[in-house]
Amino acid sequence: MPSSALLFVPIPSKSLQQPEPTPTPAHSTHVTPQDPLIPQSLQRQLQSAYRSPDFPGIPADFDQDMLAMSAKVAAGAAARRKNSHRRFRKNLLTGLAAALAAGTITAWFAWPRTAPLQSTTLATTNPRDLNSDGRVDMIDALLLAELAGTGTAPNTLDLNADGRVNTADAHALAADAVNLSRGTL
Amino acid sequence: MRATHHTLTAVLLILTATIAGAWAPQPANDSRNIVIPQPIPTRQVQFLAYDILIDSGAEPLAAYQIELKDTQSHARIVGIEGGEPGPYNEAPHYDPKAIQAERVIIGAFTTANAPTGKVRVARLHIMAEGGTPDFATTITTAAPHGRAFTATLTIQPTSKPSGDRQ
Repeated sequence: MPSSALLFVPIPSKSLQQPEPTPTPAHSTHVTPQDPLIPQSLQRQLQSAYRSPDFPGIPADFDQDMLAMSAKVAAGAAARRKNSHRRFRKNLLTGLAAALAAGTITAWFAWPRTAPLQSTTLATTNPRDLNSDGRVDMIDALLLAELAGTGTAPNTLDLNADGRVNTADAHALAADAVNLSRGTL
Repeated sequence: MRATHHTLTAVLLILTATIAGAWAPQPANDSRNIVIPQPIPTRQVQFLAYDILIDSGAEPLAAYQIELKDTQSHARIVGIEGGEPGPYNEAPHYDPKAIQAERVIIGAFTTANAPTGKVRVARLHIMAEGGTPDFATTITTAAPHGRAFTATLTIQPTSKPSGDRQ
C-alpha cells in the first residue's frame, strides 16, 4: 500500500463534485448534516487538494488494499480468540488433572491402613451385670449372693469396699437395681 | 326564675331523703357485713393398700423385681412393707425417692428356701387422690442360679390393716 494513502480521508467522490457549501466563518467548527464528522474548513482544504492538478488521484486498488488489510486484521483477531480459547481449555484440563492427582495422593496417605476395631473390643462390660443380659437387676444380686456364699466371688464385686465380698455386697447391688433411674415404665 | 325554683326544690327533696335514710333505725343483724364462705372444691383423698402377689407355679422364687407405675397419676406411694412370713417377709429393696412418687421398683432375693406357688411378696400403701390408680407393671423372676422364668403378677386391693403378715 502506498504510504501516501494514509494521508487521505476516504470521502465519497460524490461530495467532491458538489458545489462549494455556503460560506461560514473561517474558524468555525460547524458540522454540516451531510458530513457530520468533518469540519467545513477541512472539507474545503481536502476538496481544494483533490482539485489540484498535481494530485495523482486515489489509487484504484486503494479499496482492495483497505479490504485486504481489514480482512487480515480480522483474521488475526479470530486467530487470537481461537488461541485464547485453546489456552483456556488447556489450562482448565491441566488444573483438573492437578486437583485429581492431589486428591488421590491425599486420600492415599490419609486412608487408614489398619483394620477397623472389632466391636467386641469397644464394648464395655458392666461388672455388676453378672449374667450378662445387659441390665443390672435382682437376678445379678442373687448371683452375687450365691457367689459370695461359695467364696468364689472376685474382689471386683466388693461393692461396699469393706474388703470382703459377702451378702452385704449383694444387697448393695440389689439397692442399685431398684434405683428409679433404672426401669422401663 | 321558675326553673331555679324547681331546681332548689329538687335539691331539698334529695337532701331530705338522704338525711332520713341515714337516720333510719338499723336492723339488729346487718347482713351486709357477713361474708359467706364459698365451698372450696376438694378432691377426694383415700388411702389404699395393695398386696403384691407372685405365682411362680412349680418354680422356686429365688429372686424377683417388679416395677409399678400408676398410669392415671392418682396415686402417691406412702409406704412399702414386706410380704407373708418366709424369705420375703422383710420389706423389699426400693428407692427411697419412690415415696411420694407414682412409680416404684421393688425387688428381693433369697438363697435359701425359695417358695413356690402363689406368694405375697410385698404390700404397697398409697394415697389416691381424685380417682383410683391403674398400675402398669413389669416383672422379672428367677430361680436359683439366676435361671429366669415367667411368673404371674397380681396386685389386689386389701383392706387388711398395716402390719398384718398373715
